[in-house]
Amino acid sequence: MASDSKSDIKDYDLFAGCTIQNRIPFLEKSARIVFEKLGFTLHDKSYGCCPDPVGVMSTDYQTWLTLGARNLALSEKSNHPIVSLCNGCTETLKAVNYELKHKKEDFDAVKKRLESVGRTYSGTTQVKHFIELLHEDIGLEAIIALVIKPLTGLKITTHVGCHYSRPSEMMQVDDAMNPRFPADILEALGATHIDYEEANLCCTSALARNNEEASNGLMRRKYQSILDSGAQIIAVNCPSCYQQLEVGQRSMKKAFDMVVKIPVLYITELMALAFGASMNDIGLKFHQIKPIKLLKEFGFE
Amino acid sequence: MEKMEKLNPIVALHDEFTDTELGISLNLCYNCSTCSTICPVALETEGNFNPRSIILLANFGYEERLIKDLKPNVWDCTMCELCQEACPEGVNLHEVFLRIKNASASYHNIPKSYTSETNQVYLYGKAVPSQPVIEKRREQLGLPKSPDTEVEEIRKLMGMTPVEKILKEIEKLEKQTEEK
Repeated sequence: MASDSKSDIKDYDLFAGCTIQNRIPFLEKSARIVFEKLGFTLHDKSYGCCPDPVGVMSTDYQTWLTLGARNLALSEKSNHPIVSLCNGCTETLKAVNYELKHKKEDFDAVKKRLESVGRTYSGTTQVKHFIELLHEDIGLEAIIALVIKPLTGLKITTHVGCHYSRPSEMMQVDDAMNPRFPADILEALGATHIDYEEANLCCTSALARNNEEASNGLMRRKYQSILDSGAQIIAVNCPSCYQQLEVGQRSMKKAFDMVVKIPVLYITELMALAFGASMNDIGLKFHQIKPIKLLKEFGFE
Repeated sequence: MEKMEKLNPIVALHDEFTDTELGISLNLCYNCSTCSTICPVALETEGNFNPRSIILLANFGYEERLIKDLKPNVWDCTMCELCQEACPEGVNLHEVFLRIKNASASYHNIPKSYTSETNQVYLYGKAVPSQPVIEKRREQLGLPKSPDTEVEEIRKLMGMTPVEKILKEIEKLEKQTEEK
């Protein structure tokens, strides 16, 4: 979905999502630093859960549609597009818009429910994943212009995550089967992007909720492939993948006596560092797999 | 919606898989196995779970087996959407699986973590509610307080969908099990 026209909009409603807000808020800190440096104003809204396209959607589609549309209605009122920091929230918000545009009966039902609580939904709110906003609207050149501490020499690999680009008819971003924007951003920061065979393998966060054995088996494949690639950091852009890939390293030790110990960093954390933020500014000490020693070796403070 | 609630979930699912846009897409499957070849869970479980068999059973009217017996277990899907992208016939596997999951939920055949998460949304408006220790951390990081949401409004909206009934039934069943 490459587009040549860069948008001038600098005011966005921030959809941090409840996992980032209320469990791993240091990721939000790095995102705020990055977008502030890029000249953006992020507005906080009284959003509820997106709601989760795994847990809530699988339980009840109508609840998922209705609460998703409620969040979109909040931004319809403020007339700002939404930037989301999470793959799952992005999928829900984009997919709810898509579904309600294509399913008249559901649209009418949701509209009526929302009207009964005084909300108006018409489907005009634009939704962007932060990676999409960075790559498509802001552009790599504007990112490069802000780099004062390039990530030179760091070998970083990406785990982009499934809900970022799929289902493609709803997400409309990047190459759905072989997404590349996060790698482009890392290269713009001066890092060496490392590819690996299992790059597109799911983090199995959803599978782990029903079948731990299968989830562990798949994660073992993924970690082995990352270890073989020689990458020093796994860069992610989804809080579910972040948690799964951090916690999964402990599961590997327990299940297979396999030692992984590769720090998992958010793309915005790496950007904030390259833009001159300190490790303390963005709370890197809160990571389970500490990246501090490695980053010090590369001159970060 | 009201119509759905009155119908037996098995019959309702059967209806959704026939004579609808979804049913037409389901009918396009010609068993080529592209979905099962690309599915990571099928690979890991040596085919015990595989999307093709679910599509086949849905096509042949085995809704009851899919939602009551969970054979194969639809909850083993990791929701990576690779099959959805890869299907050469454009079968809407994403939605077929979703419908089976929702119908299973109405039989309480749903992993506990899914309903607990949905219940958090019912109680607090968020799957991960605000908690004092994280609010303190947010403050340390110089972040604003995690924005509140209108919980009453969210609960009211959830009351207009089937989910409230499902959550209450599951809560009741859990209490009965505890008492035993």
